[in-house]
Formats: sequence, structure tokens, C-alpha cells
Amino acid sequence: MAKRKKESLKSSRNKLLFVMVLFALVWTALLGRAAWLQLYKGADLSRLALRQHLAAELERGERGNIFDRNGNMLATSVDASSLYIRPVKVTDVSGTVAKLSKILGISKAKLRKKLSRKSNFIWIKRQLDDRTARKIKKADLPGVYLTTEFVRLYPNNHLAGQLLGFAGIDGKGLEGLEKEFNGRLAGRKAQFVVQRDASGRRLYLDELGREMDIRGKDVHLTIDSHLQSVTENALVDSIKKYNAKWGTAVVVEVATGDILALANCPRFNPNIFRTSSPKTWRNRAAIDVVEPGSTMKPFLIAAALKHGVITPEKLIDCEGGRWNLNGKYIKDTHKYGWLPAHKVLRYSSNIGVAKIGLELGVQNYHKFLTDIGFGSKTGLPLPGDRVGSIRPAAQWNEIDLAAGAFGQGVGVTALQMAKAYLCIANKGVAKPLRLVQLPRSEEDEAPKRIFSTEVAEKVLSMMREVVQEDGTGTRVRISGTTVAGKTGTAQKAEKGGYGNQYMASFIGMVPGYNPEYIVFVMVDSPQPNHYGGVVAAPVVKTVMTETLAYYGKLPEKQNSAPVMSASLTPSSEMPKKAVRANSAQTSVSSETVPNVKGMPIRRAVEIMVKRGFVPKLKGQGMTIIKQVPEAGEKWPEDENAEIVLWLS
Amino acid sequence: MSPIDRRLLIHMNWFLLGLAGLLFFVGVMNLYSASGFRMEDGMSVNSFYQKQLIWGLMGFGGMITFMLFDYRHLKTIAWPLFIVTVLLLMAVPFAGKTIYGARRWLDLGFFNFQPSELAKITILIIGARILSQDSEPLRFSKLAYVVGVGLVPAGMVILQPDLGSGLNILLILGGMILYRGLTSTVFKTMAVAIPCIIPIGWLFMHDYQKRRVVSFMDPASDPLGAGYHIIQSEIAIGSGRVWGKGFLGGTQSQLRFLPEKHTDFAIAVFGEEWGFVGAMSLLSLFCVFLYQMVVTARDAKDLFGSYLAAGVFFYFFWQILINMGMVLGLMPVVGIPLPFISYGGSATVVNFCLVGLVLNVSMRRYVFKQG
Repeated sequence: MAKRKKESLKSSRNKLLFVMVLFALVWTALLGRAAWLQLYKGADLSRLALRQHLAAELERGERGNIFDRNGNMLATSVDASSLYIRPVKVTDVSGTVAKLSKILGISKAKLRKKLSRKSNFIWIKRQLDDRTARKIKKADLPGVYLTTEFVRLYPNNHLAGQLLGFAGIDGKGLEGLEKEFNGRLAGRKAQFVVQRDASGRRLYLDELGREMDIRGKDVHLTIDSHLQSVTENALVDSIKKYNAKWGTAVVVEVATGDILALANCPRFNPNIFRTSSPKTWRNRAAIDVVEPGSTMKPFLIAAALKHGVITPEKLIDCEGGRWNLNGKYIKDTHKYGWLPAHKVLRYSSNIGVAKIGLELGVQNYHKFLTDIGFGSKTGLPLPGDRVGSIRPAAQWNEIDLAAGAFGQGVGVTALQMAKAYLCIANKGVAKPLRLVQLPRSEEDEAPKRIFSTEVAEKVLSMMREVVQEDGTGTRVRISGTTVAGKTGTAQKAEKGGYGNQYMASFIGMVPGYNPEYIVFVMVDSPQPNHYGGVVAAPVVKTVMTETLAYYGKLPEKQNSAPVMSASLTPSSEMPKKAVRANSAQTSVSSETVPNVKGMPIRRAVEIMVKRGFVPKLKGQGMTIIKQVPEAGEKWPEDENAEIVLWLS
Repeated sequence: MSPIDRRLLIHMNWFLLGLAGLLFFVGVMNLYSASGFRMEDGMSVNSFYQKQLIWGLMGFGGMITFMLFDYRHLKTIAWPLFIVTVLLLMAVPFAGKTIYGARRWLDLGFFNFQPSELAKITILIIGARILSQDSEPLRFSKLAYVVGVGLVPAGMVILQPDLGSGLNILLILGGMILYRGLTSTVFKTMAVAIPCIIPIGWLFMHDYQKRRVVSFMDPASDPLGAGYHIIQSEIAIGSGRVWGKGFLGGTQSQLRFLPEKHTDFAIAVFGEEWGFVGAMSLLSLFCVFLYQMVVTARDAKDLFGSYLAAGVFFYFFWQILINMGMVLGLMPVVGIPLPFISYGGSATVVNFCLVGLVLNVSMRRYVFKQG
């Protein structure tokens, strides 16, 4: 009994020993392996893991949008695929060349040349359309890669083209506001990593693994798309009618200093900037320094009134239209004898203002011009914004002063003129122009009184005469309200003197007693008529009328007539093919929403914008896959109704 | 005597019960993380962990059931149970339901029943019954008898085909045989014979199984194919390093580089998120868990109970060894889940039932004298 028990004890101890040894061996092996993987190989394997799910390639966030004052989109970005090659990784050169040539329509010789380059990275074609990108993906060629890039899109085409400028293919702003606000608009690219999952989808994370917003920030302008469009159209009409070289127009809201429209003609479509001449990129309102001519006279009068040199009734001898000053002749278009000062402005007598100028003196005139903003930048965020040219007071002789009185020998920009007139409209208090609502400009100039309210009222009164009496600006009269204005017809300086080309301009302020809007228009070299009162005035009138109507400030009678007729129209510079496609699309069913599914985004947006709707874009890609409202439905009556396009 | 009296509760191995519960909850927590996908806008979590909780509750019921009766009754139903199991296994090729291309399930209306799971329990009981008849070391004749009995269900399961479960059945039985002890001649013969038999098995393996073995030897030979599992598993675990990436922080699992992350490779998720410290802790938990079964086998008042406990020990032991070995890259990829950690309905229920069986043996170790 005892022996048996002892044996069974021994046997059970053996059993246990066997189990424990097996157990210990296995656990040691498992732990050892875990330690080897996690402790010894841990660093290497971590690096492998990182390489798997972190991409080191350069990625950029989407560029921010540009909006007008009502939230209409002026510039946006959509993504597109771009094709590049790493020649080292291409296994079958001739096969790759053949296939790419077929899909892309690029000649084989050109492709072969690109492929033979000793580079690690070569762009083959940027911003492919969806179908081509899909073909490339399907072909699955080694060494051939697709990457996502953002394509800049200007849904309204030419609208405010020079003002917006454009961004290059690398998403960098090259001109206009795109350049000026590049830092804000550009998507961020540093300080983040791209995480990929096993299927290659990407997530944007910062170094700590948090998801990040790398999208650029938006810019909101003071521009009103509708008024911008109205202004551009009116300007284009005038330029065409008078065979002018170019024109520019600025519309300013007096209460805020907001620039509601800033037009340059000929127009420029930033969507196709590569096909247009760099000359048309110029935002001439900011860049081009011109001799303004008679539109400068109200400032001389204001300065003279301020310094007590004249009163509106002071009589001045206008010498019968021809006056010799130090051997130089100053001429008037019409011959006048003695005129009271207010009529000097009304009839725009050069001799009259020259005499007032001489009496005022260089120091006073120069200081006044400088105070009101000439000779310094407007402070607007526009690349190339110029200071103009006002020579130092010491360099002016009498002739210079006389010429400066009627706007010759001084160089100003259209925006400087708008800013100076804002001071008159604002009753003598200078304040800055505003072009951008967001981001707010950091250093707002404090409003500063330049001259008294009485002086401003007197100048305004004279400028009302120009329009409402028998002055030079009668063509801008608007029934139901008064307009204050001034014409300008400046001979353009050529080599060695003045030739027979003119700069026609007109400044208009409405209503004439307490101006709410300022419209300044300049037209270069109009023919055959070159008078500001003929060439530039109708543009001012159209824009003023539309502006008043738009804000409901016209008496009932006018409110219904010509108003709102102008909507955003397609650019005359658009490629012919696109124009044809467009007109075909819209003429078929103008009452109902057309089918835009399958269309490239640009064309679809153009169609919507033509009807006055700026669609919301959802999703990514270049082709429309879904639309609301559906094709065949009636256009919504509410102008702010939502139209949504989904992209593939 | 009421089915469970106070003394039974006192003598029950509460420690083992607690460990099983703890392991189960570690598993559910890990499943929660393993079910997460990182999407462009945050995380999305599949509901595996919720289902696993429900299975766990059912398993808990099964465990209680397995504790209520005196385990010695199992001796009498061993053979009938064996016959029923074999009959059910025979029914599978004819009436079975095919899921994922394998015919392993019987549709019982309210759930899909896997007879191979029952076979694992059956082999425990029949093995314990045969081996507990005497305590002499096994001779050839007795060994052949036991192995023969085991090969019937194991062979049928392998032919389904379900190599993992079939091998599991044989390994449970093998473990129990080793626990019982062999005469030295038999042991020496086996030590020579078995390594010779294994290469013959190669001839009967499916192509995909052969590929797994080859890629185990050299994962880099086919990194995106058969070697993918091993490479990704090692990367996931290794990149966890000492302290891990934190709960829900596993990039390899959430970005879906790690395959089968809620079933067979669930432990890789754990290793990635909790690091070596976590892996070591989990291994220690399993170690104590298994040790409690060894203690139960040692203290059992009869040989049948002892072999039952030993069988359950080996049931868990082999699964842990094979699964961890596979995930850590020590063994070829075989579809065997890790008890309590991997997602799986019937496996969870069976795991708890078998823990119940061990508890049954442990709490009745003093009551025999009365009965």
C-alpha cells in the first residue's frame, strides 16, 4: 500500500515535471521571440512600419478660395491627376513609350527624349482629365505614377481677371491678388506627414498623429460680382465703340471706402492665362501711371478754396482761349473771357485753373496733392501698386505749376484718383480704400481731415454744375437724382511733347449732394472722339444707374427699366470651341436646367454662372457626376437658390 | 445533495475563474481596438467586440452548466458521446453548410454548429476515460488503441478540410498520452518515428498549406502573397517596441496592413498597442491560467479528473503555443485562434465550457469521501 502510494506519487511528480518543463520551454521561446522582435528588432521594424504608412512625398493642402462681398466664388481649386515618371523604375522603355503615346497623344519621340533623361522625377503631363487618368491607372505601367494636384479654377472666367491674377501650375500665386495673398491662400505643406492605409488611401496627420487641416485660408473681397460685371461690360462697350487701347474703371462705396468694382479692359481670363498676352494681365488701375488731365482740376480748386486764394464767385480772366506764360502757350478748347471760379471748373478752362494755380503757389498745391494721397501708395494689397510721380516742390517752375493745375506733368494711378475723390465725397476727411474684407488689414489709416466741409461742399457744388448745368459732363445726368462729376481729356505725352492721342477720363459722384458712390473711368486713346465727356461719361452713367438700381436707390420709374439687364456674360476671349459648345447648350433649353452630368467642371460652371447661379461644388475631380436641380427642372426663381454639382 | 453546496463553492478554484474572466475582457478590449479602421474623418469601429461580449455571456452559461453535475458521470457517457460526435462529423459532408469555401458547419436553425468543436470536448472525455483505466506506463498495444480512437474524429475533421482543428484534436490526445507516460521503449521508438512521419505528411498537404510552410522559412520570397501575413505581423508587433503605441494607437492594424486582425492575428494588435510589456504581461496571465489547470490535475482525487484537467490544459496550451508561435513568426501560418483573445463564437463558448470542466474537477476534489 505504502509502496504503491509512493510509486504513484513519484509517477505524478514525473508527470508534473514533464508538463512544467514543456511549459517552461515553450514560454521561454515565446517570450524570447517577443523580446527579439520588440526589443532587439523593434527600431528596425518601427522604421519599416513608418515606411509603409507614412509617405514622404511632397503634399500640399488645397488652395483657399477667393469670394466676393456676397460670398460668390471668384476663385477655387479642384483636384486633378498629374502624371510623372521615374525613369529608373521603368522596365520596358519602348512599351511604356508606346502606351503613353497612345493614351496621352504625345509623340513617341518626345516621350522617349523625356524618358532618356537622367533624372529621378520627370513630369509627363500635368492636370489630366479623369478619363485619361483612369486609362493610365488601368495600364499600370511600372515607373509611371499619378499624383494629385490642385487646379485653380475661376468660375466666372474673365470677371475681375486682372484683379484676381492667377496661380501657376504649382499652385503658387503669380499675379494679382493670388500673388499678394499667396501666403494666406496657399495650402500648407510643411509640418505634416501623409498617412496611407493598406489600400493607399491618404490621411493627413501632423507629427503627433493628429489629423490636420492643411487647406489654405480664404480671402473675401469687397468686390460685388454683379457690379463688377456691369462695370466691365460698360467699359468694354466704350472701348469697342471708340477703338480705344485699354480702359480701367473703379467703383467705390463712400460710406465704407469699399471698392465695389475694379475693371480693366481688354478683359483677361485667368483660366487660360497662358494663351493671353502678359500685357492683358496688368491691373492698370493700380499699375499704370498716367497724366490725368482735367479730372485733376477739382483738387486745385479745393486747394485754392482751402487757402482762401479764391471764392467761387471770384472772376478770372480766361484770356480768350490762348495765354502766353513765359513763352509757352496754354490753350482752352472754347474761348472764354472773364469767368467766375465755379464756371472755370464747369467749362474746364485750362487758362483759368493755371492762373488760380499760380496764385496758390507750388508749396500749397504740392502739399495738398500729397496730403490727399498722390505720390504715395494707396495701401491696397495689389502687387505693383504704384506711387505715381509728383516731383518735389522745389523742382516745379511756373510752367510746371500751371500745367499741374490742369493735370499735366503729374503722374497718378486710377486708384489714387478714386482715393482722392473719396476725400471730397467724404467732405474733406481722407480715408483709406478697402479691397479686402477678410483678412482685415492690420494698419487702418486713421481718417484725417484735409480740408473743411465748406470747401468740400463748394467743390461738390461746382462739380454738380459740370453735369447738371451746361458743363462738360452733361451726358451723365440721371433723372431723379443729381450727379457731380468732372471730365478729363488729356493729351498724351509722347517723345518730346504732346501728340494727338488722348486719355479720356470721367469722375462721377452720386447723389450729387451727399455722394454715396464714386465711379472713375479712364479710357486710353479713343478714336475718333477723344473727349472724356463723350467717351468715358456714358460708362460712368451706366455704372451709376445700375449701382443705384442694384441698391434700390433709384426712383420707381427708373428702377424697372434698364436695370439688371446685364448679367455675367461669357468672355469674348474664350476659345471659340467653348463658346460654341456653350451657346448650343444653353439655347436648347433656356427655361430648364440643362444636363451637365459628364461635363468638365469648367463648362458646367460656366453654364450655371451664365444663368446667374454660382454652383456649390462637392467632391473632388474634374467631371460632374450628379447635379441638383436635376436636368429638365425649371431654373429656381430665387437667385440665391442652391445649385450643387458633385464631382467624380 | 444539492448540485452545488457551500463546500463546493469554497473549494472551487476562484482564481482560475477570475483569470478566465480577465483574459476574456482583455480580449474584448483588444477586439474593440482591432475593429477600428482609421478613415479620412476619424475612426470607424466594427461591432465585433459587441458580438464577442454576447458569445462570452453564452459561454458563461455553458461554464455554469459544466460545473453543475459531478464530472464522474462523464465517464459513463464517454462512449455514447463519442458515437454521437462521429455521427455528426459524418453528417457534415452531406448536410453541412459551406462558409468561406469550407464545409464545416451544421445548420441547426438558430445557429451554425461546428461538430469539430464538439470533437475537441469529446476527445478530452474519451481520452481521459481510456487513459485513467490504469496507471502503468503505456505499452504499444494500448497506445495504438488510444491513438486509433483519436484518429477517427481527427481524420474526419482533417478531411473536411480543417487541418487546424484536426491537428488540435491529435495534439490534445498526444499531450494527455505524454502526461500519462510511456514505457521507455515506446518513447524512444516514437522519438525516432514521428520526425520521420512528418515529411510524409508534406505529400498530403494542399498547395496553399505548402506555400505557407515555404513562406514561413523565407517570408521575403513572396512578401505580398503568402509571406504577407508573417511580415505584417512581425512589423506590427515589433513596431510596438517596449511600451507599445497605446490603446487604439496601432497604426498597422488600423490602417489595415495587418490581416485577420480580429481573429487569428488579434494578439499582434495587442503587441503593437501594448508593446513588449503588454505581451509579457499577457503571456504571464496565460502562464498562471495554465498553471492553475496543472494544479487541478495534480490535486484531483481520481485519475479521470486528473486526465480531464490535463486534457483541458493541453487544449489551451497547444492553441496558445501555435497561435503565438505563428504570430511571432516561429511557426507557419495555421488557422488556430488564441483562446479568449481572438474573435470567434463557438470557440469562446467551448473555452468557457472547458474552464467550467476544470472548475468542476477542482471543486469536487474533497467531496468524494462523502459520496
